[in-house]
Amino acid sequence: MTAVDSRFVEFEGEHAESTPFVRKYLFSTDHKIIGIQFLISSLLFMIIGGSLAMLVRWQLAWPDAMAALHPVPLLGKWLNWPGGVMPSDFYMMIVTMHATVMIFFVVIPLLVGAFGNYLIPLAIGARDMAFPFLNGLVFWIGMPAAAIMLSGFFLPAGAAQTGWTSYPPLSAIHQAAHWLPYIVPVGFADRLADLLRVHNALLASPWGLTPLLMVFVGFALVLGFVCVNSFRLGIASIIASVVIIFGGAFLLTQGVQYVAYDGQSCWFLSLIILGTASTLAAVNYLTTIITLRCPGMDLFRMPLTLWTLFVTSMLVLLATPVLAADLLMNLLDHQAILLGNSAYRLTSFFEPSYWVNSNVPQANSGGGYALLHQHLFWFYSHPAVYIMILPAMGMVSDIISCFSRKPIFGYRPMVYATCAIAFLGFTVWAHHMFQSGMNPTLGTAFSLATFLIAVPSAIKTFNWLATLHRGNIHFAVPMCFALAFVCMFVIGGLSGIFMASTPVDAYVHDTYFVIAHIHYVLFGASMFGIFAAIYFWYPKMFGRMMSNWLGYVHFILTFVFFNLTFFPMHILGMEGMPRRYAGYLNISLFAGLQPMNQFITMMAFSLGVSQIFFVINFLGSWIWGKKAPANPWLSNTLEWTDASSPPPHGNFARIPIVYRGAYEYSSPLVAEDYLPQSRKL
Amino acid sequence: MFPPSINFSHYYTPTDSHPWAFLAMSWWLPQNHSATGVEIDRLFLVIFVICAIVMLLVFLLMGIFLWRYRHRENQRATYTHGNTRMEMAWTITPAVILLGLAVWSTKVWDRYRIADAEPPADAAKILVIGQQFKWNIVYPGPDGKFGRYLVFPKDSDAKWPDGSKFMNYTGPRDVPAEQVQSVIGQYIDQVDPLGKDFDDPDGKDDDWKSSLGRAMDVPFGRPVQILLTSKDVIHSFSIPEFRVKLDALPGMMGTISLTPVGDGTLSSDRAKLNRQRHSLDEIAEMLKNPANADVLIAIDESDKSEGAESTPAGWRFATTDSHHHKVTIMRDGMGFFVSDDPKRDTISRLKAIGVKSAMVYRPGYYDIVCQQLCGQGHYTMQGEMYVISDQEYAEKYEGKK
Repeated sequence: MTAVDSRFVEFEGEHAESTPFVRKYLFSTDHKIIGIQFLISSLLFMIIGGSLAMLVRWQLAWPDAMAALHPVPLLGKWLNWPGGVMPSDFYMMIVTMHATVMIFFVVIPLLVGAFGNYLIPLAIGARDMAFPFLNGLVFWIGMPAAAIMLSGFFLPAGAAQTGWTSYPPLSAIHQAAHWLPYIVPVGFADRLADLLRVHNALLASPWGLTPLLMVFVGFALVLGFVCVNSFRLGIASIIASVVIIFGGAFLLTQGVQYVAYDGQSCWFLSLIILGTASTLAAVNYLTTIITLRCPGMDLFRMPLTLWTLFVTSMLVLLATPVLAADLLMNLLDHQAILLGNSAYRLTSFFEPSYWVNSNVPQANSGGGYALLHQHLFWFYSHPAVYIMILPAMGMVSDIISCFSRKPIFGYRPMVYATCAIAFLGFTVWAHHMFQSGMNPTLGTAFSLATFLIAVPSAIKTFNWLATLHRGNIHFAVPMCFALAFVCMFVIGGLSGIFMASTPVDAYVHDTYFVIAHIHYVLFGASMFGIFAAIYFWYPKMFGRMMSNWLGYVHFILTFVFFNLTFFPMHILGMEGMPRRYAGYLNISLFAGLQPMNQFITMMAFSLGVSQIFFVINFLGSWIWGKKAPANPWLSNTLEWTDASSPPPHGNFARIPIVYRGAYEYSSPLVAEDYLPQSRKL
Repeated sequence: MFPPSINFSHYYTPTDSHPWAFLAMSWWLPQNHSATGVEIDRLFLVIFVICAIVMLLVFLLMGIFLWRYRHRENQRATYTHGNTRMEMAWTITPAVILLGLAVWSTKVWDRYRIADAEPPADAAKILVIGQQFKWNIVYPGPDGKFGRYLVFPKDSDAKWPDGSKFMNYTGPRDVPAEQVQSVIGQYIDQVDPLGKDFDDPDGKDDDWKSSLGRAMDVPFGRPVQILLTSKDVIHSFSIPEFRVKLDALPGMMGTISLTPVGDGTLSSDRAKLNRQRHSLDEIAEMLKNPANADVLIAIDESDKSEGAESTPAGWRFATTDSHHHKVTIMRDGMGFFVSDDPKRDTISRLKAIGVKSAMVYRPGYYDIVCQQLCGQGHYTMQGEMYVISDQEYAEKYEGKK
């Protein structure tokens, strides 16, 4: 694979028509198709993650004794829970999986995968990514990762239950199936296997047929992508492909069964695979932005969306390998071999000497350091928080500037603030660990860095405000979401200051205050930014306009119910209510908070239901939407001004030449209120 | 006998509340009972005020801009790319404020975690060992020193730690290899759950035998140094009303301190009210003491006066829900609420609707909760802390008469 320098080559349009369907729309290497694939798959995962959140809220509103009056609908009956009461380890499982799915399979893929892919080549005036094959491969590698993650649900003891942070030594303990006695065979494939009496013959491991099929299909898709893009069409290549796809997927699935035998090991394995894919993607994005910018597109003429994606890719490249290494160590710690009746661990990176689990000493554990995982994990996961917000900041900057018809206020300060956040983002990880038992002196340094990282965030907020000042503000749907982003980010950012202060953190740490904070940043900011971006770029992606009316309804309901759901959580946190509890009635200090927990649940369900308007709008507009013009928002950037909606294969008829920055709105040089980057005066 | 079932739901069974019932709750931190907590609360308040001002300022400005500069016919935005002076202003101002907060935080932190790690010689010491899903509370005895703990027998040891025979084996080395792990497990279960080093002279007088899940007593007005570790996974030792929180790490020893101070902090004062029926006048008198803030009040049919026409039928419960004397009254899942701050005067409103007396529930202990996910029983991992007088503590745990 070499970077194709197509800058000065005129694009010959025949290629697109001669591409077979599978290579054009399914196993495509076109960045636009891959971006849309990321978008759709992440939105589907959002349905899973959202449903898990609803289950969490159901349990918190009616825990323990109260569950008798409010048994969990559907699931309670299906899994035969006595009285419909959710077992506490099932609760831990859905909490863990909600966070995991939302972070790793929804927000990061949406921001970096979907919009990164779709926008980078279009907005820098390139025909495609630097490594198109790698680009497709990254998406398809996500499939087995997702399959392995979800297959945890179908293993005997369920998926991972140790929180999305998976702190060892808890995560080193093999999962026991507390709710196994109540569970019925887990899926149609198992019933089919029972029916055909192949169950026992096939399954020597705890893996049922359903998860095996899921993982098999996941690997088959990756190999399918590789084969389709490596072989020319012909009978021999079809036979070879079939052999490689089915044989390879079979062998890989067998391998997975040896490595992962409970939800926790699935969790580790899945994220190792996904982390590797993200690292590859970051290399691709960086190479593309550095080498494939069209003539005239200086770094400091790039729209802020690209700047943030550029910086985000650096974060991914530098941080994700650390996570992958850490998870690999965890996976090894989690593995054990049986010698006689005694289980021996493969490694002991995180387990101390004399480590006891349920009063059974873990014979060969020792010398490990439990805090090491936390350091490595947060060394990735704190930058990951910025991976999940920076691209949204960039896109919101573009949207606010466009709908204010005014250049972004302080373009260079915005860029420098982005870089400062990224740099400081690597120096604050241990603020997640102030109360972890690490040396308290360390807390001082990390506290200072954490206070400082609020400064570039403040710069960005004030620049957004100043952009609105003396603008000509149009309240289109994307603009509404972008403005809500700013408001929610202000609340989420300010509540972070409480956690930056070490002594105050001693009180609010691990309470619902943190839950409120993370949801204001990840949902209130990132997801609102993503919604803004979807409403903004949908016409470009699908060539259709979205319904304004449905968009406004979706916005208002989401905004109202989001705040009613998550703002009260600050107050719960101030009362000291701990997170990750399956119920609070048994503690006198928190039992009285139940009315608020019930209120939050009602609002959370309303928030969930409000998303139906988005689904209708998204799917309906695809079919019935008005045809979109090339530049419906009268924007300046190349994807709007130089490509049709949707852009053809190869993006541009002729590679554009850029004469100015991306924010020349209301320029005195022209009569209209926008001046495209590529327009020669 | 401990552990008693501290299941509050026995006498406190909330039903579905009115959607807006939470408005009657306290919206501020629970009352603090520790010396360091005073500083933490003050810092919290200052950060809260600063954040509230910044938030309102940003929202106000945004509101004004959105209204003032909304799109109108023939309006053109001002063409500007920025203003370096403004950028400097809104970079330096937050930086100065944040640095100030950072310095103040560090000062409090130094006292709270670094200076308190070496408390005065008269400090009471307590060793807390977390395990799934209980806290072990160990007192050092008259010598004020702890022996070694969490030194569990290994396969290769010739003798059991306490020197006796166990299951006819003189030591783990004699046990056949295929059984050794389970025999050691049983030994830990039955004889030595904390892995005590029986040879350590400092540990001879330790009060450790009934440590599992017992209540923790602390002396009033004296610094208490809590040594914290864990047997299996990471737990977090947290007492919200004392602003104390630290993770208990297997293989490491942490230190955290608290000094119980303030009126009504003694557990016996708190317990006086517990599970007694009081008239509303008595309750009003009690509520005047700030330490009695977090009192639960339950009202049922028998609390009503006979001819109280305005009383809604089917009382379920009422609560002065923690800390600010607020009273929530629920009935049949619909409920309404009244509040006891002086302006709204709950007590007289309760009287007005025909309530004569109420049952007062308020445990005499402080909740110890685990705030680090430690397994499926995580949410049941709770303990009780009692604040007893210094003298009682010295007699009970330090062998002083």
